[in-house]
Amino acid sequence: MSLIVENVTKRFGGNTALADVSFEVEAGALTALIGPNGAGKTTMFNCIAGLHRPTEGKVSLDGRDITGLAPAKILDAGIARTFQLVRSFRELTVLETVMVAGHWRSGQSFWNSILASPGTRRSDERLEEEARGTLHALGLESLADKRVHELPYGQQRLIEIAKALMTGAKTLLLDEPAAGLHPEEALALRGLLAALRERGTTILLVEHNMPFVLSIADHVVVLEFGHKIADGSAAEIAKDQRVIDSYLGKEEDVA
Amino acid sequence: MSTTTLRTQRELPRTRLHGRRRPGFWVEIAASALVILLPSFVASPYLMRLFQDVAIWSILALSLTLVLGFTGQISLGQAAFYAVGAYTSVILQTALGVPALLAWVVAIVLGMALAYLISVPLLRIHGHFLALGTLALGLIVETLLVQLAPITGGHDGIRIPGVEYLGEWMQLRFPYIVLGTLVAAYWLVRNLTQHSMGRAFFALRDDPAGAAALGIPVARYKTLVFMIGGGLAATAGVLYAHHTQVVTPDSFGFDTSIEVLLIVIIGGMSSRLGAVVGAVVIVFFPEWLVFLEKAENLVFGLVVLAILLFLPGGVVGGVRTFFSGLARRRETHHPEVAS
Amino acid sequence: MSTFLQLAVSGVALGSIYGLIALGFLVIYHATGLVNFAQGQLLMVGAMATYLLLMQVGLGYPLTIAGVIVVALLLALLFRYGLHRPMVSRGAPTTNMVVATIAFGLVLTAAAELFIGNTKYGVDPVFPGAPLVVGSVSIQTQSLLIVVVAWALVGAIWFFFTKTLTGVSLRAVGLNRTAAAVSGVRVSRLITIAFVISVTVTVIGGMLVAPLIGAGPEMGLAIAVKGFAAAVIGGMSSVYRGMVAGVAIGLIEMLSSYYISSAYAPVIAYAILFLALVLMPARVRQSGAHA
Repeated sequence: MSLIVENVTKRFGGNTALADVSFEVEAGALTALIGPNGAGKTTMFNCIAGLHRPTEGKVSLDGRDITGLAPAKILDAGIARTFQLVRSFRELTVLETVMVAGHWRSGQSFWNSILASPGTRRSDERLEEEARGTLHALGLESLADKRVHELPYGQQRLIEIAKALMTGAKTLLLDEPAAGLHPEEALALRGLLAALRERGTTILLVEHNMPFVLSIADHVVVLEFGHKIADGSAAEIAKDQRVIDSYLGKEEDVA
Repeated sequence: MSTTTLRTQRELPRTRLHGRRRPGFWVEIAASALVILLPSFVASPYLMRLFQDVAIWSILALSLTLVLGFTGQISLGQAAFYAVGAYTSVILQTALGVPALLAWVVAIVLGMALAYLISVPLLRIHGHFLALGTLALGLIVETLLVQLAPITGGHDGIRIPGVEYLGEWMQLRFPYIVLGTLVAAYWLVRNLTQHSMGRAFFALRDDPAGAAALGIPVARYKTLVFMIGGGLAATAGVLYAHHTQVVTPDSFGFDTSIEVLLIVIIGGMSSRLGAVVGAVVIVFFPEWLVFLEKAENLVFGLVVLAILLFLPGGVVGGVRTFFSGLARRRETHHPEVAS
Repeated sequence: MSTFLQLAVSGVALGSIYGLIALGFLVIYHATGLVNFAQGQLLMVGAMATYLLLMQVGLGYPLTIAGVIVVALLLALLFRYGLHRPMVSRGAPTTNMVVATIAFGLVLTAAAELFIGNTKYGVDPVFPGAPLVVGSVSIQTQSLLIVVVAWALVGAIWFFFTKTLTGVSLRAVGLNRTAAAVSGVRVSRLITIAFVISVTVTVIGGMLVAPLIGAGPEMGLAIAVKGFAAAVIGGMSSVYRGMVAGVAIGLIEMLSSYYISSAYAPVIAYAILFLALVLMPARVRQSGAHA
């Protein structure tokens, strides 16, 4: 189930957000896409997730070309994504929110709902069990009946991950999962990601937070101004001069 | 939050009544039976007329509950489908001699077809712009009803005397038909929204991008719901025509679209019960508060403003919050009493 | 030919009113992202106030104008502090905002009906007397006044938004409220200013148009729809475009009313609005600021 990005270029009008970027996200491993602001990480992420169509280049999953597919088709292919800006479903509880993530594979449709076929009720019971299981696995089961918008930010981000897990996708795209988390929350997230990797889930995350990334990633890809400037293991990247310059250079400008 | 590993799935305690119906179900069944049998024990014809008014408004309101409350599409033009239902049914019967039941079916199908046609361009606009677009649509239909006088009878409309077109048997039992249709419409909306579909609707209403990323076909659902809404509104129109035995453009204008909106806001926007409650309020309050006769619109407008500010969930939302507040207070005072 | 010119004159005058509605509409929209469905009723209040003060109470125009402006200010403050701000502070979603403005308009119409009854009343023009005659065309003084005042207002608003500090700050608020607030801009006060401008401009429009078409409680909706159409066609952006679009709509309305059919003229206007909305380019659709 490896995700391969080949020579992806993305232009918005006159602005080249991504220039000829290629890398591989190995199956069952955790890959991090990092880089300073404006590097093109989010654009790359959105190109894989189906929000943007690459101007040039190809994205494939397990040999199957998924370039430019709509988000729903991306999910069919087995990739789920989280969003950084959590916009909750106002009238749904946490449990129901997670259950929604299973809707697409639940088999419920207009027809069988209106006709109230017994299958609908059974499907719902199954969804509820699975959702409770997912919440339980993340230690969130006590929050089942709360509303997402009532919860602290760290827990909201975890619920995003719960939704992604509930979709049943084998590959997760996580958009800055550590953003805005306390150190203890970030630690817990690290543990969660490690456990997911052990389960065989393929993970690609976009992150700002270098120490976090270096502590958990198997493989790191570094972008700067739309170009890939480094690609290797966490240890290699930590020592890579170009990467250090890219980050340190930024600090100097600010100083 | 202390997860450092993924907890293994244990056998989870059953917290819901798996395999058995929840108590609310039987309440709804009983209420439905009561409503259908209403004409049998309501003696006053005047009261019965009011109940039918409530039923017809409820069906119309349910269309907006689905379209607006569940999928967030602000439609200010439901009266257009209401009109299509009523006028199509009446014209088919009076001008073309089509038998009533067939005319009804054609009218409802036409309402749904029109809704589908309109929904395609409408998918591209959202929020207030969608409201404006549906407003324009409603106004177009309203004007055409007057202008296409050779077909629609213009300002005077078309009369459709009951016995002549329904036959004595049906005319006598028409109240049962109206209330029966309300129950059917209610159960349609209930079934459609009570399980995963309902949750998916809420999801696509509040966060379309998030819903799409979870595999929910946002455009398809919005279109289908809009179609069903058109069908429900047309159904209400069909019933209305026989109920009042005349159709005139006055009943199908912007004012009507607004009135449906008021009903849904007062009752509770995303609640099927709210549609009925709101209809009861709209029909009965002017009866109870006769002195308000002239100021009806003013009062309703102010009530709606008050609701939007202080009780956004409408009557039903307010009642629910009240009861869940009670439950929470009971829990904190008696934590050992499990729910 | 003279009929054509005659119709054109009426079309331009009426269209300038639509442009004024578009102006009022756009000012609030750009400052707050709110689509004000009560815009037409605000115009109606201007017309009704003019009728009451001028025709019933018998004040002359100067005092009437002053009185109407006062009404506009009060209405703006009521709208802003009684409705808009409380709803924004409760985090009301778009739907609720739309319904709130609709309900507000409904209350205004209902109040007017209660007060005056559901008829139209005549209002004297500012400059009484015979219409001006230019060639074979007779131009009512009021029509001329409308065009002059409307375009002057548009120019004044444009000047305000581009050349004054307050106006520029207001644009900043519309574009990025958080950044504006952080830069020391008094956001809430500016939004109130936007409401005052919008309501006042619209109310003045009502005062101007009343002598032309009369004042009645139900006059708001039809005019507002065309004003909205003008704003949308103008790309929801520049006030000049809205004005030009408004005049265009006025012309189309007048000409089609005579040459095609007066009955179907409204349908054409509504269809224009519908098409303009559906064909609106995506970036305009999403460009609304947040309430």
